[in-house]
Amino acid sequence: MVGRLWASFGLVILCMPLGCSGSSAGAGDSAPAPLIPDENVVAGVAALEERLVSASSDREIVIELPADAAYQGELISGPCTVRAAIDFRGGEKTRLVAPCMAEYRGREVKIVCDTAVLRGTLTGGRVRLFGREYGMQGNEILLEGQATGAGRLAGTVLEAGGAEEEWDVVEGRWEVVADAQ
Amino acid sequence: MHSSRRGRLSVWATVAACLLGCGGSAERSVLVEYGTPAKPFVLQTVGGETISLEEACRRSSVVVLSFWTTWCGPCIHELPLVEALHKRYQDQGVSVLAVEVGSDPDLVERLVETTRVTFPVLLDTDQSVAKAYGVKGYPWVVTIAGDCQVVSSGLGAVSDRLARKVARLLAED
Repeated sequence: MVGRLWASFGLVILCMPLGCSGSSAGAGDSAPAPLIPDENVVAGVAALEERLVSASSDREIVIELPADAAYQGELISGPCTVRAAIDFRGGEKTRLVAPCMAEYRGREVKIVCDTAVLRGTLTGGRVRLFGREYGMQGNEILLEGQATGAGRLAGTVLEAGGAEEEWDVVEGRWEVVADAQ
Repeated sequence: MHSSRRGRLSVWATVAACLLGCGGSAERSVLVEYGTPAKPFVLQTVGGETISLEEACRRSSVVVLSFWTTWCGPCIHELPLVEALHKRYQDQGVSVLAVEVGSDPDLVERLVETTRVTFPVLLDTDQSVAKAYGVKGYPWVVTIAGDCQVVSSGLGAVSDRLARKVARLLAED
Protein backbone atom coordinates (compact mmCIF):
# COMPACT_ATOMS: atom_id res chain seq x y z
CA MET A 1 0.00 0.00 0.00
CA VAL A 2 2.74 2.41 1.05
CA GLY A 3 4.79 1.37 -1.95
CA ARG A 4 1.88 2.09 -4.26
CA LEU A 5 1.44 5.50 -2.70
CA TRP A 6 5.11 6.29 -3.21
CA ALA A 7 4.86 5.12 -6.80
CA SER A 8 1.92 7.47 -7.40
CA PHE A 9 3.76 10.29 -5.70
CA GLY A 10 6.81 9.67 -7.85
CA LEU A 11 4.68 9.74 -10.98
CA VAL A 12 3.23 13.09 -9.97
CA ILE A 13 6.70 14.49 -9.31
CA LEU A 14 7.84 13.27 -12.72
CA CYS A 15 4.78 14.70 -14.40
CA MET A 16 5.20 18.17 -13.00
CA PRO A 17 8.31 19.22 -14.91
CA LEU A 18 7.66 17.10 -17.97
CA GLY A 19 4.03 17.95 -18.45
CA CYS A 20 1.54 15.12 -18.54
CA SER A 21 -1.31 17.06 -19.99
CA GLY A 22 -0.76 15.58 -23.39
CA SER A 23 -0.71 19.00 -24.94
CA SER A 24 3.01 19.60 -24.95
CA ALA A 25 4.92 19.62 -28.18
CA GLY A 26 6.67 16.51 -29.34
CA ALA A 27 10.35 15.98 -28.75
CA GLY A 28 11.26 17.04 -32.24
CA ASP A 29 9.16 20.20 -32.27
CA SER A 30 10.71 23.55 -31.60
CA ALA A 31 8.32 25.50 -29.44
CA PRO A 32 7.78 29.10 -30.48
CA ALA A 33 8.99 31.82 -28.14
CA PRO A 34 6.46 32.87 -25.49
CA LEU A 35 4.07 35.60 -26.55
CA ILE A 36 5.15 38.96 -25.25
CA PRO A 37 2.25 41.36 -24.68
CA ASP A 38 2.33 44.19 -27.19
CA GLU A 39 3.56 47.27 -25.28
CA ASN A 40 1.50 49.70 -27.30
CA VAL A 41 -1.71 47.83 -26.52
CA VAL A 42 -0.70 47.36 -22.87
CA ALA A 43 -0.58 51.15 -22.59
CA GLY A 44 -3.93 51.44 -24.32
CA VAL A 45 -5.53 48.93 -22.02
CA ALA A 46 -4.14 50.78 -19.00
CA ALA A 47 -5.95 53.87 -20.24
CA LEU A 48 -9.19 51.92 -20.10
CA GLU A 49 -8.74 50.61 -16.57
CA GLU A 50 -10.56 53.36 -14.79
CA ARG A 51 -13.57 53.09 -17.05
CA LEU A 52 -13.76 49.34 -16.57
CA VAL A 53 -13.74 49.67 -12.81
CA SER A 54 -16.42 52.31 -12.87
CA ALA A 55 -18.58 50.11 -15.09
CA SER A 56 -18.38 47.12 -12.75
CA SER A 57 -21.51 48.08 -10.86
CA ASP A 58 -23.53 47.09 -13.92
CA ARG A 59 -22.36 43.53 -13.61
CA GLU A 60 -23.39 42.27 -10.27
CA ILE A 61 -25.45 39.44 -8.99
CA VAL A 62 -26.91 39.83 -5.55
CA ILE A 63 -28.15 36.83 -3.64
CA GLU A 64 -29.73 37.46 -0.33
CA LEU A 65 -29.98 34.49 1.97
CA PRO A 66 -32.40 33.97 4.81
CA ALA A 67 -30.78 34.46 8.22
CA ASP A 68 -30.56 30.74 8.90
CA ALA A 69 -29.45 29.75 5.40
CA ALA A 70 -26.01 28.77 4.29
CA TYR A 71 -24.31 28.44 0.99
CA GLN A 72 -21.57 26.02 0.15
CA GLY A 73 -20.10 25.80 -3.27
CA GLU A 74 -17.75 27.28 -5.75
CA LEU A 75 -17.47 30.55 -7.53
CA ILE A 76 -15.89 30.06 -10.90
CA SER A 77 -14.98 33.02 -12.99
CA GLY A 78 -15.37 33.31 -16.73
CA PRO A 79 -11.99 32.43 -18.18
CA CYS A 80 -11.43 29.56 -15.76
CA THR A 81 -8.62 31.39 -14.01
CA VAL A 82 -10.22 31.64 -10.59
CA ARG A 83 -11.84 28.82 -8.76
CA ALA A 84 -12.50 29.47 -5.15
CA ALA A 85 -14.54 27.64 -2.59
CA ILE A 86 -17.06 29.78 -0.81
CA ASP A 87 -18.83 28.77 2.31
CA PHE A 88 -20.54 31.42 4.28
CA ARG A 89 -22.97 31.73 7.11
CA GLY A 90 -24.39 34.62 9.02
CA GLY A 91 -21.76 37.18 9.98
CA GLU A 92 -18.91 35.86 7.87
CA LYS A 93 -17.29 37.86 5.12
CA THR A 94 -15.84 36.51 1.92
CA ARG A 95 -14.09 38.49 -0.72
CA LEU A 96 -12.63 37.12 -3.91
CA VAL A 97 -10.57 39.44 -6.02
CA ALA A 98 -10.21 39.70 -9.78
CA PRO A 99 -11.39 38.83 -12.24
CA CYS A 100 -14.39 38.04 -10.07
CA MET A 101 -15.18 39.63 -6.78
CA ALA A 102 -17.61 38.37 -4.20
CA GLU A 103 -18.55 40.11 -1.01
CA TYR A 104 -20.62 38.81 1.81
CA ARG A 105 -22.14 41.29 4.16
CA GLY A 106 -24.65 40.12 6.68
CA ARG A 107 -27.03 38.01 4.63
CA GLU A 108 -26.17 39.47 1.29
CA VAL A 109 -23.78 37.95 -1.19
CA LYS A 110 -22.69 40.22 -3.95
CA ILE A 111 -20.79 38.81 -6.89
CA VAL A 112 -19.31 41.23 -9.35
CA CYS A 113 -18.05 39.45 -12.37
CA ASP A 114 -17.96 39.59 -16.12
CA THR A 115 -19.18 36.07 -16.48
CA ALA A 116 -20.28 34.51 -13.26
CA VAL A 117 -20.72 30.87 -12.55
CA LEU A 118 -22.05 29.94 -9.17
CA ARG A 119 -22.28 26.28 -8.39
CA GLY A 120 -23.41 24.80 -5.13
CA THR A 121 -26.31 24.40 -2.82
CA LEU A 122 -28.48 27.33 -1.98
CA THR A 123 -30.95 26.99 0.84
CA GLY A 124 -33.76 29.47 0.59
CA GLY A 125 -34.01 32.37 -1.77
CA ARG A 126 -35.93 32.69 -4.98
CA VAL A 127 -35.12 32.76 -8.64
CA ARG A 128 -37.05 34.82 -11.12
CA LEU A 129 -37.05 33.29 -14.57
CA PHE A 130 -38.91 34.53 -17.58
CA GLY A 131 -40.89 36.81 -15.29
CA ARG A 132 -41.98 34.02 -12.93
CA GLU A 133 -40.58 33.51 -9.48
CA TYR A 134 -39.44 30.17 -8.17
CA GLY A 135 -38.43 29.18 -4.66
CA MET A 136 -35.12 27.37 -4.37
CA GLN A 137 -34.99 23.91 -2.94
CA GLY A 138 -31.95 22.53 -1.17
CA ASN A 139 -30.69 20.70 -4.25
CA GLU A 140 -27.68 21.67 -6.19
CA ILE A 141 -28.16 24.57 -8.51
CA LEU A 142 -26.07 25.96 -11.27
CA LEU A 143 -26.43 29.55 -12.23
CA GLU A 144 -24.29 30.53 -15.11
CA GLY A 145 -24.16 33.52 -17.32
CA GLN A 146 -23.67 37.20 -17.51
CA ALA A 147 -24.46 39.08 -14.39
CA THR A 148 -26.99 41.01 -16.39
CA GLY A 149 -29.14 37.91 -16.20
CA ALA A 150 -28.72 36.28 -19.58
CA GLY A 151 -27.55 32.77 -19.05
CA ARG A 152 -28.36 29.26 -18.08
CA LEU A 153 -29.97 27.77 -15.04
CA ALA A 154 -29.99 24.14 -14.08
CA GLY A 155 -31.22 22.27 -11.06
CA THR A 156 -34.32 21.51 -9.14
CA VAL A 157 -36.42 24.35 -7.93
CA LEU A 158 -39.65 24.68 -6.11
CA GLU A 159 -42.15 26.90 -7.81
CA ALA A 160 -43.60 29.64 -5.65
CA GLY A 161 -46.92 27.85 -5.71
CA GLY A 162 -45.36 24.66 -4.37
CA ALA A 163 -44.99 22.51 -7.49
CA GLU A 164 -41.55 21.09 -8.07
CA GLU A 165 -39.87 21.48 -11.41
CA GLU A 166 -36.69 19.88 -12.56
CA TRP A 167 -34.65 21.47 -15.28
CA ASP A 168 -31.58 20.22 -17.00
CA VAL A 169 -30.54 23.42 -18.59
CA VAL A 170 -32.74 26.39 -19.18
CA GLU A 171 -31.34 29.08 -21.38
CA GLY A 172 -32.71 32.53 -21.06
CA ARG A 173 -32.83 35.40 -18.70
CA TRP A 174 -32.80 34.77 -14.99
CA GLU A 175 -32.46 36.86 -11.93
CA VAL A 176 -31.86 35.96 -8.33
CA VAL A 177 -34.01 38.01 -6.02
CA ALA A 178 -34.11 38.53 -2.29
CA ASP A 179 -35.87 36.00 -0.15
CA ALA A 180 -39.17 37.15 1.27
CA GLN A 181 -38.77 35.03 4.43
CA MET B 1 -5.49 24.94 -47.39
CA HIS B 2 -4.87 21.32 -48.17
CA SER B 3 -7.60 18.74 -48.13
CA SER B 4 -5.09 16.02 -47.21
CA ARG B 5 -5.35 17.18 -43.63
CA ARG B 6 -8.97 16.16 -43.37
CA GLY B 7 -8.12 12.65 -42.15
CA ARG B 8 -5.83 13.94 -39.45
CA LEU B 9 -8.49 16.37 -38.31
CA SER B 10 -11.00 13.57 -38.07
CA VAL B 11 -8.66 11.70 -35.71
CA TRP B 12 -8.32 14.85 -33.62
CA ALA B 13 -12.05 15.20 -33.66
CA THR B 14 -12.53 11.71 -32.29
CA VAL B 15 -9.92 12.19 -29.57
CA ALA B 16 -11.32 15.60 -28.63
CA ALA B 17 -14.86 14.29 -28.57
CA CYS B 18 -13.82 11.46 -26.23
CA LEU B 19 -11.89 13.76 -23.94
CA LEU B 20 -14.64 16.32 -23.79
CA GLY B 21 -17.82 14.44 -24.16
CA CYS B 22 -17.46 10.87 -22.98
CA GLY B 23 -18.48 11.65 -19.45
CA GLY B 24 -22.14 11.43 -20.33
CA SER B 25 -22.84 14.76 -18.65
CA ALA B 26 -25.79 16.99 -19.44
CA GLU B 27 -23.49 19.34 -21.34
CA ARG B 28 -24.55 18.16 -24.76
CA SER B 29 -25.40 21.52 -26.22
CA VAL B 30 -22.10 21.85 -28.10
CA LEU B 31 -23.01 23.49 -31.35
CA VAL B 32 -19.60 23.21 -32.93
CA GLU B 33 -18.05 19.80 -33.30
CA TYR B 34 -14.33 19.49 -33.81
CA GLY B 35 -13.27 18.62 -37.31
CA THR B 36 -16.52 19.82 -38.81
CA PRO B 37 -16.68 22.68 -41.29
CA ALA B 38 -16.58 26.08 -39.63
CA LYS B 39 -19.88 27.90 -39.93
CA PRO B 40 -19.55 30.59 -42.58
CA PHE B 41 -20.21 34.22 -41.75
CA VAL B 42 -19.76 37.68 -43.14
CA LEU B 43 -19.22 40.55 -40.71
CA GLN B 44 -18.25 44.19 -40.81
CA THR B 45 -15.10 45.33 -39.07
CA VAL B 46 -14.92 48.39 -36.87
CA GLY B 47 -13.26 50.16 -39.80
CA GLY B 48 -16.16 49.33 -42.14
CA GLU B 49 -14.44 46.55 -44.06
CA THR B 50 -16.42 43.39 -44.87
CA ILE B 51 -14.74 40.16 -43.89
CA SER B 52 -16.01 36.68 -44.69
CA LEU B 53 -14.74 33.55 -43.03
CA GLU B 54 -14.68 31.86 -46.40
CA GLU B 55 -12.26 34.47 -47.71
CA ALA B 56 -10.14 34.30 -44.55
CA CYS B 57 -9.88 30.51 -44.92
CA ARG B 58 -8.87 30.88 -48.57
CA ARG B 59 -6.20 33.41 -47.66
CA SER B 60 -4.83 31.75 -44.55
CA SER B 61 -3.72 28.34 -43.38
CA VAL B 62 -4.99 28.98 -39.88
CA VAL B 63 -7.78 31.27 -38.68
CA VAL B 64 -8.11 32.16 -35.01
CA LEU B 65 -11.45 33.57 -33.92
CA SER B 66 -11.27 35.32 -30.58
CA PHE B 67 -14.76 36.06 -29.27
CA TRP B 68 -14.86 38.88 -26.72
CA THR B 69 -17.04 41.66 -25.45
CA THR B 70 -16.45 45.15 -24.18
CA TRP B 71 -17.77 44.30 -20.71
CA CYS B 72 -15.42 41.35 -20.27
CA GLY B 73 -12.44 42.51 -18.19
CA PRO B 74 -10.27 39.46 -18.89
CA CYS B 75 -10.93 39.91 -22.62
CA ILE B 76 -9.68 43.50 -22.47
CA HIS B 77 -6.62 42.44 -20.52
CA GLU B 78 -5.68 39.82 -23.09
CA LEU B 79 -5.79 42.27 -26.01
CA PRO B 80 -1.99 42.85 -25.82
CA LEU B 81 -1.50 39.08 -26.26
CA VAL B 82 -4.00 38.89 -29.12
CA GLU B 83 -2.05 41.73 -30.76
CA ALA B 84 1.21 39.84 -30.18
CA LEU B 85 -0.26 36.70 -31.77
CA HIS B 86 -1.54 38.72 -34.73
CA LYS B 87 1.79 40.45 -35.30
CA ARG B 88 3.82 37.28 -34.97
CA TYR B 89 1.83 35.27 -37.49
CA GLN B 90 0.13 37.73 -39.83
CA ASP B 91 2.78 37.23 -42.50
CA GLN B 92 2.82 33.46 -42.07
CA GLY B 93 -0.68 32.67 -43.25
CA VAL B 94 -2.56 33.14 -40.00
CA SER B 95 -5.62 35.36 -39.63
CA VAL B 96 -6.45 36.48 -36.13
CA LEU B 97 -10.00 37.81 -36.12
CA ALA B 98 -11.41 39.30 -32.93
CA VAL B 99 -15.18 39.02 -32.93
CA GLU B 100 -16.84 41.48 -30.56
CA VAL B 101 -20.20 40.18 -29.46
CA GLY B 102 -23.22 42.30 -28.82
CA SER B 103 -21.87 45.72 -27.91
CA ASP B 104 -22.70 49.09 -29.35
CA PRO B 105 -20.43 49.54 -32.40
CA ASP B 106 -19.56 53.10 -31.33
CA LEU B 107 -18.35 51.80 -27.98
CA VAL B 108 -16.28 49.11 -29.69
CA GLU B 109 -14.77 51.67 -32.02
CA ARG B 110 -13.78 53.92 -29.11
CA LEU B 111 -12.30 50.95 -27.29
CA VAL B 112 -10.31 49.86 -30.33
CA GLU B 113 -8.98 53.38 -30.76
CA THR B 114 -7.99 53.66 -27.12
CA THR B 115 -6.26 50.32 -26.99
CA ARG B 116 -4.55 50.81 -30.37
CA VAL B 117 -5.01 47.23 -31.51
CA THR B 118 -4.25 46.56 -35.16
CA PHE B 119 -5.92 43.18 -35.70
CA PRO B 120 -9.34 43.14 -37.38
CA VAL B 121 -12.19 43.59 -34.92
CA LEU B 122 -15.43 42.19 -36.32
CA LEU B 123 -18.82 43.33 -35.07
CA ASP B 124 -21.22 40.53 -34.19
CA THR B 125 -23.84 42.96 -33.03
CA ASP B 126 -26.79 40.57 -33.17
CA GLN B 127 -24.67 37.79 -31.60
CA SER B 128 -25.62 35.40 -34.38
CA VAL B 129 -22.04 34.26 -35.04
CA ALA B 130 -21.37 33.69 -31.34
CA LYS B 131 -24.53 31.61 -31.15
CA ALA B 132 -23.56 29.63 -34.25
CA TYR B 133 -20.23 28.79 -32.63
CA GLY B 134 -21.76 27.83 -29.31
CA VAL B 135 -19.96 30.55 -27.38
CA LYS B 136 -20.84 30.19 -23.70
CA GLY B 137 -18.45 32.63 -22.09
CA TYR B 138 -15.67 35.07 -22.81
CA PRO B 139 -12.99 35.04 -23.96
CA TRP B 140 -13.79 32.13 -26.27
CA VAL B 141 -11.29 30.99 -28.88
CA VAL B 142 -12.00 28.95 -31.99
CA THR B 143 -9.13 27.65 -34.10
CA ILE B 144 -9.84 26.82 -37.73
CA ALA B 145 -7.50 25.01 -40.11
CA GLY B 146 -7.50 22.44 -42.87
CA ASP B 147 -10.42 22.92 -45.23
CA CYS B 148 -11.87 25.64 -43.00
CA GLN B 149 -12.59 23.10 -40.27
CA VAL B 150 -12.86 23.71 -36.55
CA VAL B 151 -9.80 22.33 -34.79
CA SER B 152 -10.60 23.58 -31.31
CA SER B 153 -13.26 25.65 -29.62
CA GLY B 154 -13.54 26.63 -26.02
CA LEU B 155 -13.39 29.09 -23.19
CA GLY B 156 -9.96 30.49 -22.55
CA ALA B 157 -7.57 33.29 -23.15
CA VAL B 158 -5.02 33.67 -25.92
CA SER B 159 -1.90 32.06 -24.52
CA ASP B 160 1.46 30.53 -25.32
CA ARG B 161 -0.36 27.23 -25.61
CA LEU B 162 -2.48 28.67 -28.42
CA ALA B 163 0.65 30.05 -30.07
CA ARG B 164 2.16 26.56 -29.94
CA LYS B 165 -1.00 25.12 -31.46
CA VAL B 166 -0.90 27.68 -34.29
CA ALA B 167 2.77 26.91 -34.93
CA ARG B 168 2.00 23.20 -35.02
CA LEU B 169 -0.88 23.68 -37.45
CA LEU B 170 1.32 25.81 -39.69
CA ALA B 171 4.03 23.17 -39.63
CA GLU B 172 1.54 20.47 -40.59
CA ASP B 173 -0.05 22.49 -43.37
